[in-house]
Amino acid sequence: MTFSTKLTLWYGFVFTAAAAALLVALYHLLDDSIDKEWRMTRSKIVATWSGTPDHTAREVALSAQQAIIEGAVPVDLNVNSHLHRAFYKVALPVLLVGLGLGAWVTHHGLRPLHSLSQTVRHILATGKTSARVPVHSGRGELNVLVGLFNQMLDKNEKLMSAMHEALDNVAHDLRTPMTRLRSSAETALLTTDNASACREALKDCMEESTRVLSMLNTLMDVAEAETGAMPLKREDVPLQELAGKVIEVYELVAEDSGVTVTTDIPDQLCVHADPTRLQQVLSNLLDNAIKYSRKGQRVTLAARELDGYTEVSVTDEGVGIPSREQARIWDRLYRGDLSRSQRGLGLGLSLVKAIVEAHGGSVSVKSEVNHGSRFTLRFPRP
Amino acid sequence: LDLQARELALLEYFMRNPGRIVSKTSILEHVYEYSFDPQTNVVDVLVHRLRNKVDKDFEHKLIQTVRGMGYIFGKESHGQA
Repeated sequence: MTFSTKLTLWYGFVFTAAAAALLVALYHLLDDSIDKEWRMTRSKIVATWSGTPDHTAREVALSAQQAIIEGAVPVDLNVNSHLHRAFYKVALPVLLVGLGLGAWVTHHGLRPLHSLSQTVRHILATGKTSARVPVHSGRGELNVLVGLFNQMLDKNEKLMSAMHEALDNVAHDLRTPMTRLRSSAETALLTTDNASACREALKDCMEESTRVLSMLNTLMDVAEAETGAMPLKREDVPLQELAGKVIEVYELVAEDSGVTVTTDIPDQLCVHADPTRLQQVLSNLLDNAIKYSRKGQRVTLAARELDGYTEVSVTDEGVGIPSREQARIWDRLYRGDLSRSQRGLGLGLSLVKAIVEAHGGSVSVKSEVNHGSRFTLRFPRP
Repeated sequence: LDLQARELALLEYFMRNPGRIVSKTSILEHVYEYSFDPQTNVVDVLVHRLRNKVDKDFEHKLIQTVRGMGYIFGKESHGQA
C-alpha cells in the first residue's frame, strides 16, 4: 500500500470519526426534547390502542379536539433494521465524504513531495542539474524540505562547476610546460652531432618537468588539505620562534629588494597547529608580501590573542589587490593581472587557505591598490 | 673572507659535497632546515651572495650553476653554466 493511499485512508477515517462525533454531540444536544426509549415508526396510527406488551403507544401531543397518538416500538425489537437504515442514510454518506476529504487533503498536502520526486526523476533522466523543485506557497515541513532540497542542488551545482573550472585550469596550465618539455625533448633527440646543444635541451626538460612536478605536488597538497586527508601533527607552536625562523629564510630576499620585515607578536603566544604546515603558510604569505612590496616599504608579521581564537596576520604596504580580484585570489591557479608577470604557480594562496581551513581556521584579506594588503589567519583555540 | 651565518652554512654544505650536483631543495633543507618545496628565489639569492664573495674576483669559479638541477662546487668549468 503506498504512502498516499495510507494517508488517504487515515484522513478518511479521521474525518469520518470527526463527523460521527459531531452527530453524536448534536444528538446529545437534542437529548432533552427527545425520549430516547422511543423511536418514530413510519406510519402514524391515530387512536389505536393495542395494549400488548410488544406494541405500545403513547400520547405525544394533545390538542383541544383530539389526541394524536404515535405508534412506536421499543428499540430492542427492531434494532437491526433501525441500525441499517441509520447506516445507509447517515454513516455511509459521512464515510464517503470523509474519504473524499481525506483524498483531497492528502493530495494537497503531498504535492511538494510529488514535485520533489518528479524533479529528481527529471534530473536523473536528463542529467540537467539546473532543474529545481517548484516551490508552492505555504510553510509546512514539506515546503521547508523542498526549499532545503533546492539549496542543496544549488550547492552541488556550484561545487560541480568549481571542480570543472579547476580541472580546466589545471589542464590549461599543464599544457604550456608540457608542450615546451616535448619540444625540448624533440630537440635533444634530433641533435646527434652536438653534445652540448643536446645537454642544453635536456636541461630545459629538467626545468620544465621540475615546474610541472612542483605544480602537481602543490595541487595534491591542496586537495589533501581540502578533503581532510592531510595528516596534521598538531602541537603548541610558539609563534615568535616560528616567525623568526620564517623571516630568517627570507632575510636575504627582503634585503635585496630593500624591504624591512618586522614582527609584532606577544611573548609566549602559541597556536595549536602543525608546525611544518604553519611554517609553509607563513612562508607563502611572507614570500608574497615581499614580492609585491617596493623598496623602502615594510612587511609586518603580527599575532594576537582574541576571544576564542589566535589571529596571525601578514601586512604589507605594497601594490595591493584590486577589489574585483580579491574574491578569486584563493582559487587554484588563479593569477591576478600583476601576479602573471611574477614567478610562481598561482597555488600559494589556495594552499594557505586549504591548510588553515584543515586546522579549522579561516583566512581573509583586506587590500587597497597602492596601499598594501593584510592577510589574516584565524586559528580556533583548543 | 667575511661571511654571514647562512652564507657560511651554504659554503660548508658545498664543501662537504665537492664535485656533486646539489639541488635547490637540498640546499633549503640543509641550510634552512626547510622541509618542503617552496616556489621561492631564496636559494638563488643566497647563492648569488656567496658567489659575490667567493668567486667574484677570480677567474676560476668555484660555484657553477647546473641549469635545471642545481649547483655544483669545486669542479672545472666545462662551459655549461
